Amino acid sequence: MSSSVRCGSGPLLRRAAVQAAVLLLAAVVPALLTGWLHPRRPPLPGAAGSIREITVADAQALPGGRPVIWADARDNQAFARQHIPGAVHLSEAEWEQGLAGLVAVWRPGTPVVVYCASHSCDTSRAVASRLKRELALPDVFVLKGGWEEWLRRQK
Amino acid sequence: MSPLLPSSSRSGGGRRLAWIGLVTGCWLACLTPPVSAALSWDTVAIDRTAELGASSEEFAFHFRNTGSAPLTITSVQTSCGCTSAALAKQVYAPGEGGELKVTYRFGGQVGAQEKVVSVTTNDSPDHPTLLVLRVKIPEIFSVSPRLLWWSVGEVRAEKQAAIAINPALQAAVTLLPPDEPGIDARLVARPGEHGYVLFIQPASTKETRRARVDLRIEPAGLPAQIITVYVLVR
Repeated sequence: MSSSVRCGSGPLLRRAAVQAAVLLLAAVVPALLTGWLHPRRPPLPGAAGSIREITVADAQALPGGRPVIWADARDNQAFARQHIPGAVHLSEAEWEQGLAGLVAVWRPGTPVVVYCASHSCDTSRAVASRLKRELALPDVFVLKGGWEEWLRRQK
Repeated sequence: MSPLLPSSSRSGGGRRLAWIGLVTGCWLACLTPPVSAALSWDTVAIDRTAELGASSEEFAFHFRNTGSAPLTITSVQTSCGCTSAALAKQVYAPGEGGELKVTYRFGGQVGAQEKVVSVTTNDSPDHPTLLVLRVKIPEIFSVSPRLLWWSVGEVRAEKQAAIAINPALQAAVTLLPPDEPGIDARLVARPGEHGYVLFIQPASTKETRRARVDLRIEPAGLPAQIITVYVLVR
């Protein structure tokens, strides 16, 4: 009797494994396609011109108590409403004006942290990449979670 | 009997067919894009290459209210301050079409750019349509780096920035006098490389100093542009 049970369970297990593999394939392939084709695909860690993310806490506690320069990549109105104290406005729409403002306050060894509205916006990354490309600054970061996260941390 | 499908009196072939149908159905459900109940777009993505020297590009996304009730476009949001979107009106009757005009001002951006416009309607407030515009913006020239700096007390060695001109263009580059005294600047053409090198040296690095060195770049057939190289002693 026990031998008949063993004989019967083999095909069942094989079939279950095949069905599990088919289900996995049916899920993985559309997931990969979505990841590849998605218009707002988040960048992979370490990609996008090696712009690093930094949290609010880490930006406020850099080794040696170094201050950072906050660069606000949101639009004019959002910046005018409220921004991180001391931040310079550096949006792609008014790049040259913003760049002059940033250079005026920059000191060697001072990291620049760029932020936009929230976790889902991508302008901070674009501004940080351009900043790094045009000015060749060594320490440029993107604020993780952006302005929303900054506000949340102030509560 | 299959451990994953309900038992039935169907034959093995019937079960196989049902299984294939189930998997195909899942696939179709996954691959079918989410469709708004009423708003139908001609296209949700536009790819374009901008003309050399263009400063902005306009896009038109056409849509139609294919539902049976009036449709209200409740929100149009752009992913960047450089992009603006305009609608003639917000409410569209059943069968009525419209156009969302999007203007993207490059503001010095170059290369492959992608901007997103998010459109929300009253029929699906939680599922906005994402309109994507991708533009390849040809670079007329580049200056790198645009910041040359010395630490206070550092040896005042000459530093340089490279100016590259688009090979498809002829352009005259002129060095304008620095806005502060004590900055030596000279511009040298790179023979055969379609570019220039800007050499800068401060007269002294004993104290802090900030200056701007402007270059006037006149590409043939295009408006002249002024680009600033920043000089710092800090």
